[in-house]
Amino acid sequence: MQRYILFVLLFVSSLGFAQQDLSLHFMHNIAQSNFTNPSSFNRYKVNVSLPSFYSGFYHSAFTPADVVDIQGTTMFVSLDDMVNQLKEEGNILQTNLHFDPIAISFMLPKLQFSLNYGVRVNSHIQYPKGLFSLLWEGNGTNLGETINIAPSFDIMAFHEIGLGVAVEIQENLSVGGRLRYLSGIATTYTDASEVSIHTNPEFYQLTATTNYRQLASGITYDNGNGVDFGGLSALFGSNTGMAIDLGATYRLLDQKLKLQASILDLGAITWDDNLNAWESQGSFTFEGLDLKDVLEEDGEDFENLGDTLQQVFNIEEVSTSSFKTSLGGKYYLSGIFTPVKGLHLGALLYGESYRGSLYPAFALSAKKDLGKIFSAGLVYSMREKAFTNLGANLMLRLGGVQLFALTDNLIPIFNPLNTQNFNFRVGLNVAVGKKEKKVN
Amino acid sequence: MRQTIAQVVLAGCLIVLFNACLQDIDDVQLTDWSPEIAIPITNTTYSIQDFLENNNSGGSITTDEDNLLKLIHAGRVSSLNGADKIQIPDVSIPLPNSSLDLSSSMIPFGYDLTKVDFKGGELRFAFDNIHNEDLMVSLQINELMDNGMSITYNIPVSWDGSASQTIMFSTDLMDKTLDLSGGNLSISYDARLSSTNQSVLLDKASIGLKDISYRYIQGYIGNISFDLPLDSIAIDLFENSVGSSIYFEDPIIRTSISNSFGVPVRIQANALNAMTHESGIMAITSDLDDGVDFNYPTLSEVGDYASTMIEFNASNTNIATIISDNPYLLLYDFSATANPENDPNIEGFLMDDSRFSVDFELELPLWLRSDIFTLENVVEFDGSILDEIEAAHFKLNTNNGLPIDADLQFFFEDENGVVLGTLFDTPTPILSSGELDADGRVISNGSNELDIPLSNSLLQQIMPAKQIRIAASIVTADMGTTSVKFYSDYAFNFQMGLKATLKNPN
Repeated sequence: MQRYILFVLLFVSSLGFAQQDLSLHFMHNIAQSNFTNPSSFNRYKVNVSLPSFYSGFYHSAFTPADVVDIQGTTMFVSLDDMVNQLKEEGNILQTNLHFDPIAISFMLPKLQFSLNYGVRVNSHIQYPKGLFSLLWEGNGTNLGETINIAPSFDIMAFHEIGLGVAVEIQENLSVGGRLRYLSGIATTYTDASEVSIHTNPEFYQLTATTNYRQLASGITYDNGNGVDFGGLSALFGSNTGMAIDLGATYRLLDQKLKLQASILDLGAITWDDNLNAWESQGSFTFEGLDLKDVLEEDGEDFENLGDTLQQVFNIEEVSTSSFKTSLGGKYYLSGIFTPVKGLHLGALLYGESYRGSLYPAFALSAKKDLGKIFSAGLVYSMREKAFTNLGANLMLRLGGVQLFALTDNLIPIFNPLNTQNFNFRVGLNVAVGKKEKKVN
Repeated sequence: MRQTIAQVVLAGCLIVLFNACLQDIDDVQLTDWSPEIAIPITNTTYSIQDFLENNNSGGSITTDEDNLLKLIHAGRVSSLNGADKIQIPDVSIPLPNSSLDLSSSMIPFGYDLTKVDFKGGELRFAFDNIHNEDLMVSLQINELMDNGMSITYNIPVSWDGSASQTIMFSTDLMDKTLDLSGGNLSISYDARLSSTNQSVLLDKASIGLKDISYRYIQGYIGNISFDLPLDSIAIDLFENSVGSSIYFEDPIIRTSISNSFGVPVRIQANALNAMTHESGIMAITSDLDDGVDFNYPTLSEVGDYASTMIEFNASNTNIATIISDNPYLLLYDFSATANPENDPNIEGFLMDDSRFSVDFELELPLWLRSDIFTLENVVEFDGSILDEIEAAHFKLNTNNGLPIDADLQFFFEDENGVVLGTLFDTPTPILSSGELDADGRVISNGSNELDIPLSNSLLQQIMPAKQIRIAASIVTADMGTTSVKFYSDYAFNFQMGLKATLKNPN
């Protein structure tokens, strides 16, 4: 049952492709905004966050509309267009799924404490252009070149229990942090991803080189039957880690302008339980068959060619010791300006690091509070090759209950084939005890 | 199982998702898919020895002290055993008196023998007893020996009461020797009446030798002919050659004869012919036409073999001319004559297992020239594999350490051998001779690079092909005007790759 649940979570994450939602950072009227900056204080003294879901997707290369043409009831898929849209240095397919069953925060004078539990499933797949160009175009167009075809798969599922504190140091300055205990459920991580094919223009000799290593914990490759997910690890299992989030908020211009900076997901998990590793290492050059054997009646034939090439990419299960996976890091730098009461204009510079590379994004926000019970906002964001992202956020407060929904990109709802990224978050809070309100 | 379920669920949900967002889709097609693949076909180094072993299965390959290659084709014929050729007939010698001295030449053996070692047969002494009583008879043949001692046979006769009693005495001759070296055969008997010991004569007495087999005979055996079985040697080197002209500088025919007959023997070629591709049957001329005497063991070398080697080369035969016409079979028919001059003074010997054998060998040192040498080979090919290919392009690189130039053509044929198409418009040079030094040795390899396009129309043309006939036309360096030598370290390398554009499956 646990395996099924885990798979469903992963499966859902594969649907709801995601990046870290930007809109959430601008929704300072819900407790969940504290996830983007631990120095952010809630508006209510006590907040109980009931189950909320977040799912997101991002693809750095093409949109479905770039490669698909529908005529009548026939869908024409142009892999040629797809390959042309891919980048040589790599393309990213990223998904995130967050399930936060419960979170609690409460405020004391100039202090805010928070406690949360959540399940995170993050996947990051990076694939080179060469993988598809080789399959689509063949190697005949890349003579003399070395084509890398190795993808990397980083998928990680873990529990987290966070304990946060925000401190108002001065009237205009607050800082905060969250310490998170991480308990790994399962992961698969590409430790080395080099698989290359070189076609020599001399007479098209093929050289294949592999240095590929995939690590896993809680996942077993079931001898050709596929991947077998292990059971959900106990909350306090052997795969543990820590992470820390840090943030600061500064207000100026009579508190109409709020500047925020935060660094999130500084941490890692050490995987020590139910470890598996698979690797392929080697180099092989194929120069064709020996024609002497072919001309002899009992010699080899071309059927052996396939077997020979398969040997190069043979994946062997090997042993491994414990390994560590990093959460990466997320960076927020923003400013929210409230020119008049209830209108909040914001700008955000966001960055996400992965395997030594930084993936930036930029967002502009406009949110209007309609009294105490309703707020709505729009967010325009842009990131690499995705420049037309228009998001929206809604909050409805009925009594002490907040309902909220937000997305960074509305367009996929109306034009699903023409999007590179989509995410959404929905949730429910019980928030009582409104504190003295600041301007924003 | 779990993975299968997961895949089905995933596929189903994707379908559901897209169906929720899209209009109904009945068909999904890939467009513009026509990849170009490049693969190596072969990188083969073929030594001259590899080539010879594949095209010369009937012979052997050797090298001389300079590593010059030689092809050897050999065959053997053997004569009958002595005992099968020369038999001693049954002999009967009447004894009119009690003793007889007979010249050995008068013994009706058919040969003037001086010694016979018997392996089998019977000595018979027949007579009639007309004396109406028991007799005691003793028979002595002085020249009949057992372990070097003359044999005397004592024969008691019991009278049967008849007026004329026929007596037949027989004894085994195995391991006995008849020594006629004195020139005479002396036979005597002593018959006595048992009652009175009176010496009497025997009526109708005779000595006979029957069913004689020998282990050894010595003497003058006359002039005897041997017909050796017709035999042949296959020369595979030219089996796959068509329309070729190749001249070997130093072909050699060796005839090696081993002889254990103790008499002079002369061998003669009744027929020594070559079957050639170009000129049909051609006669090989040599001294064997008139007969050649070969060595034989002397009386002191009984049981030994005497060897004779006869060599024929370009200077004393027409073998070089024969070889240039691509023979694929050498036929030889020999006969031999013992004591060909029929000299009665020659005393020889035969053992029952005496024989002579003739080893016939053709040696072809690979020192040759050729202005045209064509080889063909047919390999199976299924042209239907071309159905997936839109266009193709072969790349061929050769590196040649042999002193030959070669053109190549590929004929794509159906199951009946009908040519559907060819790889080249005309036979195309693929091998260039290596550079030679003053001694004719290759000192630098020749190389070629060839790009061979196959158009879509040609691919369609040869798609029904079931076989490929590969025809190579080879000339030695300098257009076949100079003889070249092939050494065991010579080789050529060819590399071939294929670049093919696959068809769009849609």
